[in-house]
Amino acid sequence: MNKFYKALGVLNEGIVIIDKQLKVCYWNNYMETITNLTFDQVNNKSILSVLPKLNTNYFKKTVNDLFESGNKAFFSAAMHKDLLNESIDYNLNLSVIDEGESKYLLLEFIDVSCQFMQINKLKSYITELHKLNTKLKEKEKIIEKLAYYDSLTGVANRTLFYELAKKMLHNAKRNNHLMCLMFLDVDNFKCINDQYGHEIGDRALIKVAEILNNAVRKNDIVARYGGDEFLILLPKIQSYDDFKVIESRISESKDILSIDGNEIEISISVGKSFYPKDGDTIDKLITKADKDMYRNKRKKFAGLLH
Amino acid sequence: MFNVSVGRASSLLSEIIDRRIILNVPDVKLLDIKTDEFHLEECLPEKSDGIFMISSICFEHELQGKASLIFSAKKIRKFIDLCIKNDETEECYELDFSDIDFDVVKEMGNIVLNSVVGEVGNLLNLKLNYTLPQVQIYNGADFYEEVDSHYSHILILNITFLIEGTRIEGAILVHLTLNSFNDIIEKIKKIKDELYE
Repeated sequence: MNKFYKALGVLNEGIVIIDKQLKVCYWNNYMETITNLTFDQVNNKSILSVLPKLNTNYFKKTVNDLFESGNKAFFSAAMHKDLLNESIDYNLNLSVIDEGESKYLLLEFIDVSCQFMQINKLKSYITELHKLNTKLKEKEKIIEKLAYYDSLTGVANRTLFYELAKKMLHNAKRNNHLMCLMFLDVDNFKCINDQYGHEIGDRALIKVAEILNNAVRKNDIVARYGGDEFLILLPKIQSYDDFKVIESRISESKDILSIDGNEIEISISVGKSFYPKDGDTIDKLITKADKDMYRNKRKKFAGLLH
Repeated sequence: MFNVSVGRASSLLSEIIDRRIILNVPDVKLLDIKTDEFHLEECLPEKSDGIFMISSICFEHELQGKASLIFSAKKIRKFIDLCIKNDETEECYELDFSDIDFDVVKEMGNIVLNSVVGEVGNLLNLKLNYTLPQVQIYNGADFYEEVDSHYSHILILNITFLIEGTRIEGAILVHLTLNSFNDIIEKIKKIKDELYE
């Protein structure tokens, strides 16, 4: 039997054997080192007083059940902190030893501190990577936005407009839908810039983009074509007059910019072209709508348009 | 019967984690593997993504079977966090489980399965011997393939954990051999007869 005790003595885990009265019968070298208590100091003493962290109802209930059932129990370090001391995490296995009429309970304290350390380290790496990944994704979105959206007004830029317009034209051709392209130009924009400066001019353009966004339907596209020129694409319209609804919303929402006591009225000239009547490419539709816009602007300033 | 046994388990778990846990077995089913169609996903009341964390013990000798406590992987993460008082798990490792998580589920499985299987043993007046649970992640189909073909019936217990307002639903499956199943049925008949005498 001494052989077995010697073997338990050299194990690199805490081994304790207690009897049914919970008194310590065996305490290996590892336990002596980790608790600074020798076997002689704990021999025949209640495990509950030797290791006060075990002095809980659930430990006592578990031990009673085990002596009755003969089965095994397991205490995880995550749920039972500081079982032996505060610096090391231990899992605890409990098994019953049957020796004739007598029953004993074997307690195995297994050091899992390394697991905790490694897992915490890994978690912190993963968290860092996750944060980095989130930042990169945000930057990717910003870059995408810069590539496809006008940085001043936030509406689509020319690149995105062409990409989307081509797809919509393709769909219109395939499904025999009508499509409308509107060309819009801010009246007297050069005068606004000259008189009030570029900062005010920029604010006027932001306001125009806002007016256009408010006027269109959910799937229409508003884009800044360049300078003070904007494009609107109305895919899938029912009749040539449908664009008038959008046009009237734009003309009705003339806005006044109030800057440093000056009131600047923003007005917009609009031209339109339709697929298939006016062309079967985006460039043809833009050219046609541009010409129409200039015709309308001239009429407006000549006082012919009501 | 099972509500009494899981009641004992819940009081032990409540003490350990120092949070009030209520455990219920709202539904019990018995399936014949040969004739009844069985899908692991259907054992759990909520739709899962097919990934489960399963804690299993086998018992042998006089009564042969395998008992498994099953949770969807998403649900068990919440449960582990509540047990170890980790209030918020980062989204990035929500479904990655560490050895620490497995140990928590092992302890919890040990407590719950001990209670349920112990109750079956009590019912049959048998002393059942089993080891500590083995915890594994499965997709539903893999688990079913691993279950030994010599089992003939499955006892399915839907189980609900209520921890401080959070409801976590799982299931306990007890796979039984035909002989063990017959023993249980025989015993239930006897109990019924005694009740009506």
